[in-house]
Amino acid sequence: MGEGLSERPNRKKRAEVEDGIPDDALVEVLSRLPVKPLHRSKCVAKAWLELIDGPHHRKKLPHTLEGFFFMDKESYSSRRNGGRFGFIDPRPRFVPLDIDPSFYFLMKRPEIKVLTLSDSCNGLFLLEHGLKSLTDLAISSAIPPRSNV
Amino acid sequence: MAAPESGDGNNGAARMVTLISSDNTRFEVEAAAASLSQTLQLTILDGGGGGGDGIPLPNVDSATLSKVLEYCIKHAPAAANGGAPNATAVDRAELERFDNEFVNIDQSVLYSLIMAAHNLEIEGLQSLVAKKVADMIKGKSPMEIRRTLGFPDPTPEEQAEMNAHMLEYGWAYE
Repeated sequence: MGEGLSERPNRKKRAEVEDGIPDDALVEVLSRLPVKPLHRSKCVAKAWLELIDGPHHRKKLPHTLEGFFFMDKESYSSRRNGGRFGFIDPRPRFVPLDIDPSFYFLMKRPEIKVLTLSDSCNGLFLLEHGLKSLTDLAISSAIPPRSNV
Repeated sequence: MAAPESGDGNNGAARMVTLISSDNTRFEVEAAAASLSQTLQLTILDGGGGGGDGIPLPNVDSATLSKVLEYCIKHAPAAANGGAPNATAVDRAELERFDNEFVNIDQSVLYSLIMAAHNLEIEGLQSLVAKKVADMIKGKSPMEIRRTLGFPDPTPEEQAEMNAHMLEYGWAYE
């Protein structure tokens, strides 16, 4: 497998090579990789990690599963009164994900009293918060902010 | 040979343009072939590259340019037909065979080819080369990928980051 170059260019030339592949061309390559090789590619070079994890090319590159949100049965059946979410992170991490399944960043807003899950799709939650008859909708992303290695 | 793209009354004599590589080699090709490059297309439409002038390509050396032009000449007729109506299954199979053969090249050439396809904006060549590189990367570890693409060996810090990543993304290495 390891077909090393027969003739190694000098260090400076090689550094240019590493930085030199334009983002567009690299995305063309990476978007043709299945998930596993794509995520292996993250540690080929810093620029690759930034490209794969960064927000600009999300549409072209498959995402990694960062974790699951869940509601237990009890809080799901009583969800009209606002269920409680939990979050499962399936991977060992050096830096834990900064995820708050109580959605404190929404709850701390004075106009929001109760949060109820209406629906979810593609990593987005449709949350409903209500004061009796008055119902507003809040949409929140379930995708956590990227925490890079 | 590529058919002339438009009836400019020249009785089938295809218009030629001259391209000049970074090391000053001149290449004369049919305008239809060179026009596969989005970058060159406008210049050529404007009448550039004819006569003694030539279009200088300071980012492409002669070895790479001759390879690129080999691709363009082969693909020009199909591109001129809009790919579809006249292309028979045989033609398409032949192009496919050519493409497979074309990217069966030394890794050192591959990098210049990525850059040239990108700079000249030759869409078909860009995806052909991208596919080839993706195939090369697929079964390899990050270190092997670096070697394949001729990247320098990682610094100790980079190596530590790679190891940390391999722990975190263990599933990707199974």
